[in-house]
Amino acid sequence: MKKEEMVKLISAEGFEFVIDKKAAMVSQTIRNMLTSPGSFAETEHGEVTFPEISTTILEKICQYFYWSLQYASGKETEFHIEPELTLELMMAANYLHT
Amino acid sequence: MMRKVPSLVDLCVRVAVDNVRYIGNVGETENHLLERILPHCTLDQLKHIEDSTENRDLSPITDKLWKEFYKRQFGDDSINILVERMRQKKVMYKWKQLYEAKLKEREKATQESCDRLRKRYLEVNAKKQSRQVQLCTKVPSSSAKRSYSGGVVANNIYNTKSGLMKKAKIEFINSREVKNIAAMKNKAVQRSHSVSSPVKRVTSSGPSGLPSSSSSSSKLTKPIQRRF
Repeated sequence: MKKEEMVKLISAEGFEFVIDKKAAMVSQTIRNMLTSPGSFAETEHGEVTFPEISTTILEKICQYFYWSLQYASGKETEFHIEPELTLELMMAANYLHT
Repeated sequence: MMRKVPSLVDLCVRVAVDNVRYIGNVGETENHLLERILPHCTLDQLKHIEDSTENRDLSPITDKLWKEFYKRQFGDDSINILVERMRQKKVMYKWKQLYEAKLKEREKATQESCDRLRKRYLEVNAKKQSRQVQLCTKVPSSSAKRSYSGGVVANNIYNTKSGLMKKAKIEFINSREVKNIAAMKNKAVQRSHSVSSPVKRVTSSGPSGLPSSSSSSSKLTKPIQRRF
């Protein structure tokens, strides 16, 4: 697996999520960050840090990315969201334009 | 074919709407998101959310919701009057405050109404009571009745037509318990009144205060004897 195809998303607690670049690009915000390097301070060597997003939420977001790719390719399943995460997840998703 | 994937935001909004009853503090959630969620609240849920969300004024979103609640509760006319009044005075009140004020006013009026009604009932009742025959607690004294083990009970014997009931009542009167109580009563009465002689003889005879069975033929006749 080529390194260029993977990106690293880092949560507020410093947890690192390594995911496919294609998955990360589901988020418009991340797409912008990665496709115009230098304009975003957070992006460095394919790494994006999100100091305002907690680990649990970031994990869920990564799951959504993959689910989204799956859905787009025809496999339509349900994406379950735990009620207690809802508001926080919603705010993060809003920020990430996803 | 590339199907449109539901955005994560949309999914979250959907879940939030389904779980709106559990929402308390909405924190820094963006206005446009709240606009999609809060209209699904009941009055109590909305109030809870506003109370739980400190340091943030949600009225830009909730004011119109409160207006709707006001309308539902108090009617269109009331709203129109208020709107007109506010326009004239060039004042804008928050609909939440207006709602709460109106509710209080209604509750006060209801309470006053209830109080008036209750007062009326009491007055009518009192009037009725004053016309009724009142039961006296004090039994009017009479020398003939004093020696009975239970004056009222003895009277009942008079009134009884059935022989069986009569016998039962007499047996009851002559039971030890009743006799004891009567004796105590009679002794107390004796001290304060002067009594006609036949009666006196009867009451001072046995230890229980009543004539012992040996001094007369039958229990049945004794009460009758004592009467005269």
